[in-house]
Amino acid sequence: MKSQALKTLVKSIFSDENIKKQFISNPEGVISQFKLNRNEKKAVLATYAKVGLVSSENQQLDDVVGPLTNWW
Amino acid sequence: MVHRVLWREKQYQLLNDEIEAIFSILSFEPDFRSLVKNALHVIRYGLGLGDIHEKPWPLLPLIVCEAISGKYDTAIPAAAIIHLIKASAETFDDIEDADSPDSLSVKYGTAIALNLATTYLILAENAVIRLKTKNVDDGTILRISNTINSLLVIASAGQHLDLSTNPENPISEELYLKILEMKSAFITSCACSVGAMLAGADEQLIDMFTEFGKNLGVASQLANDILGIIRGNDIKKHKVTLPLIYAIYETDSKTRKKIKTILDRRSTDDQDVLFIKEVLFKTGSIYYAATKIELFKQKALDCLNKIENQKISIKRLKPFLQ
Repeated sequence: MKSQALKTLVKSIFSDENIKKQFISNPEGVISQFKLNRNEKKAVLATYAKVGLVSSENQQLDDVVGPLTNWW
Repeated sequence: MVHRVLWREKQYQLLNDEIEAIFSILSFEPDFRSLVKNALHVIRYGLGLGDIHEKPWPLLPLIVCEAISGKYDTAIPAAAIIHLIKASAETFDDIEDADSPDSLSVKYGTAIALNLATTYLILAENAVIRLKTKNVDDGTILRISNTINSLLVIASAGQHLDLSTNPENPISEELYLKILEMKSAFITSCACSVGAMLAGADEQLIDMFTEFGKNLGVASQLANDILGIIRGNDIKKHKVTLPLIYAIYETDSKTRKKIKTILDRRSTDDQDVLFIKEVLFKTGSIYYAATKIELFKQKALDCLNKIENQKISIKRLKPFLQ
């Protein structure tokens, strides 16, 4: 599964404060500027809705990934 | 909720009984039988009734079989087989990686751990014949045996790829995900395909369940990767997982160089661990990995939607993605 557009989007958000601000106020608007496929768009929005940009440890992240961990 | 607890309790009890029956072949040597049974608890593979908030992974073949046919009884031996294979794989993995403080090799030594891992595998292989007790026909038994063995070979090849990688020259994301599919997702895809076969599903439906299991398994392993970073244990073990791969390939050269220096030194210093952890959060490496989890969950959900279109209830499968 190649995902260069997804990498480019994440890299842009985390390296450019302006894009980060735009993403926080209008995630769909920023996403539309990148060539993400349908599932990637949904995944970016779902992740942001559930855990934010997780630039530091937070409880929401633990709550989201914890229950999914494999076989106990 | 009460209904949910009851079906889980009942299915866990039946699975427990099946494993006890499989272990009965060791009755000629009671001490060894006790060790084989108790060692499952050491690696957290002892079957309690399960915390209601935890996902009932060991019951996956039963849940798939019941979703298709309305009955789960025929899948009980298969669930026991897969559970023992998982315990065996986990034990071999601990020996090969030598990185888990709660492993059988730490508790009993490598030789005994190796013997236990081999015993679980042989008991699992031997138990395939127990499908006869559920009136499964010979053709299906042979097919299930072939499916399990084929997936085990793929998992072994995946483990070989994993062991052959060099932490100083991290692998690409594509290769990393390929290894995950081969060595981690095999168990969930196997659980789903075998459950579907035992329900008498057609090829198309078996493929849908296999694909669901594969995507579920990858999402689950990526979640493990993030937990390993949050807890810091994967960083201390210099385990190169997706967040680290993203950071190494996608961050600025200065950060990349510092990460590689720490990895090359094989440092376990708390400051170094903290540095890498902070970098992974600040550079979006964790966010990227979390997005990949959502992607694989989305793919698994797409499979479930196709399955539901075939008038099959997915109500006990959907919670695995939450």
